[in-house]
Amino acid sequence: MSASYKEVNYSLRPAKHIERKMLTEALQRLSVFGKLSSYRYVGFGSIYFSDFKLFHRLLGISRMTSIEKDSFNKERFEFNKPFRCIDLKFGLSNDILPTLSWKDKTILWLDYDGALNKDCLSDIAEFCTKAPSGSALIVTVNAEFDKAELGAFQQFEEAVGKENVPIGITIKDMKGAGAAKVLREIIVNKIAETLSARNGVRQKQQRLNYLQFVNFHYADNARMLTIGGVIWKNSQAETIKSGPWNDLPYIKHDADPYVIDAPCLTTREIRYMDSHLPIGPEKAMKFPVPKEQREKYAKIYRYYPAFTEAEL
Amino acid sequence: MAIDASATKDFFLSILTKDIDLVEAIVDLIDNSVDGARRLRPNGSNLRGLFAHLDLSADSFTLTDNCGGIDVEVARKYAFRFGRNANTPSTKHSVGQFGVGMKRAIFKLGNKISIESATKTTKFTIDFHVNDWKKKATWDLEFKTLQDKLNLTDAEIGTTIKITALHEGVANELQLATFRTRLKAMIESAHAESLRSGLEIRIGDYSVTGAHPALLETSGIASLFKETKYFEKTKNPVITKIYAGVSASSPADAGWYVICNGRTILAADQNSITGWGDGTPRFHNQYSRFRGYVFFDSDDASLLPWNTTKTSVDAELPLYRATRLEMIAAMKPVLEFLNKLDREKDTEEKPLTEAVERAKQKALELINKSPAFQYKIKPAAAVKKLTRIQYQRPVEEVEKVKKMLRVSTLTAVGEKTFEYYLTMEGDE
Repeated sequence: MSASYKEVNYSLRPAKHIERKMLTEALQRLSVFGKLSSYRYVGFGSIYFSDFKLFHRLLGISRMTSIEKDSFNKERFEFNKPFRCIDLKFGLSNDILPTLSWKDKTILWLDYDGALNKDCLSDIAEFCTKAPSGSALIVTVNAEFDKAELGAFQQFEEAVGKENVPIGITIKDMKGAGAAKVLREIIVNKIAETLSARNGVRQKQQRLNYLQFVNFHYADNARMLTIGGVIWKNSQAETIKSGPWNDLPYIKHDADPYVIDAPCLTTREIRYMDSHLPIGPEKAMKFPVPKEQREKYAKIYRYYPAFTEAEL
Repeated sequence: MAIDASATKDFFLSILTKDIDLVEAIVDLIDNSVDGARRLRPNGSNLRGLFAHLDLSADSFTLTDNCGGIDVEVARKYAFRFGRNANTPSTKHSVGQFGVGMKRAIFKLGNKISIESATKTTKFTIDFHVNDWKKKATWDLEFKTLQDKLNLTDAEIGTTIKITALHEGVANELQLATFRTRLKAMIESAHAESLRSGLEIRIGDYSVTGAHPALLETSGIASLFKETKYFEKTKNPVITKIYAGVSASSPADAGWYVICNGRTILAADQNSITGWGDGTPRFHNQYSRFRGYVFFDSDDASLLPWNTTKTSVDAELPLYRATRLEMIAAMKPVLEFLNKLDREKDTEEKPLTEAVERAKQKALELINKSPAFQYKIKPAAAVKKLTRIQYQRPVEEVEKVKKMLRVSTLTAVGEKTFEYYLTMEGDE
């Protein structure tokens, strides 16, 4: 018998939901750099605008730009805009980002559905060239690597540009979760390179640094990587030292990822466990969900999505 | 009355260091190790067991090698002079030629310099700060320690150059991973031959491997390989080897490679200096399969066409001008072949494309002599030339036709409607 109940309906994407909620919480901590309402959000809203809804409601950001590459269905995107404050720009992020004003602190989420390539790196460099201190950059890319395909590594090198592949990386490093680690390294290197050049002409106190705060690995279907971090200037060293993110359990400042692993549970099981949390559902007696699943749930229950069919 | 026309140190250092890129300067510094290795192993191409290790950080740059060391006498009289003295003992088939590489790299990197070098019998250390040296009236450096009449073991022999108080821009670059990747790529290309001969060049823990040039060959496609000997009657003849042909399609790798005494000075060049656009077309992406290699070799390095930074050729040198003509002649048939290959994109039959896909990479040293690039593949006779039609119609109308034709793609809509017209109206 197939064990398909363990799998999920891809359209529901529980890990993506969890990621969005964790990110929202992590981004709230940017308030140490200034009022969140003074931030601007730039993302790829698609027709769902899930990130825009969350960030407007929970961060109070009301200057929002959604970049949409599908310019053939403009009306549909306009129609689906959940709030008036979202400005839709049609085109590729590569073309749109350079036209934006970068005067204000910005949260930019480059939520690519595809693999990392030179265009993505150019978007990342664009942000690092222009965004003011206190701005946050989140990058999501597909981290699947199909080793079986002939010339896969060469294709990967060409896609991201040989000049961006760290020395010593071979196809062996791309196994399983390895690919996501390599991709993170490439992204972080690009950020460091761009900031280093930008710092060249800046006074010491004004020089910019990058602090990563999330490094998510998850797989609703394909393996995905999301890394997010903030750029800050030397004069804000004290703020950074105070550790704005210290108490959040999924924060990662380095190459070690936080794996979002959502167990498949029924609403009844969720309710039952919730009533015993945050101490630990493992203490509950006569509970038929395996221990491993219970533990997974205990880690993420605050962010676990509740899906239900609704008649609207 | 005499007029002072001497150079100032500041002027000297600025012209030395401003005309070279940091990566190039480091690669140039490795040339000293390469020459040392060649002095140790004069008659063979086997450099196994010899190494040059680079260690880069935000505070220091270190190059350590075991390539024979600098002799005290050589250090005293020649090695630290700016420019090569006519009496300098020469290394056969050397890559160091101008007597500037080491000094240029050192001054490019930083201010505090410490050098330690040991040969079989001598050992010395030099420590100096560039700013202190600039203040001195003379150009001399001083040994900090000096020993001779030693009998050192192989493990003790070698040179370590350590530079601290790095220039600000240099310190920023040295800690970037992307800088290391660039340095790696340049070493791979510039020192490919020494690496293939077994010299180990390391950046931190990473051992660089040399590129192995090869061309695609198959029955019916033969690359050009031509060898010419110049100044044959003299003590130091120059041998040139030219290879031209096709390889994997890659715009970034396509072009000419010029190698002097095993040191690549131009890689994937697509400019007029290697003959592009001079009776030949300018480089264009349809030529991204073109590869040409020119090797110049001589025991006397001063005869070869390199510039002092070893980043390009000395274009006016008669030897190079003559060779460039050969290169132009060599590339013409390859480009003509690639034009034909490109045209096959629009034809049904693709004999050249198929031949190229069938072909296998063959290392240069295995390629047979052939005065020209040749291909004997029957071009598709009476090929049907294809052309593309493009037009726009209102979406509703197209959707309607799609349904009528029971097809799902726009291409199919176009093709079916065209075929329909031809069937119904085509017989005049």
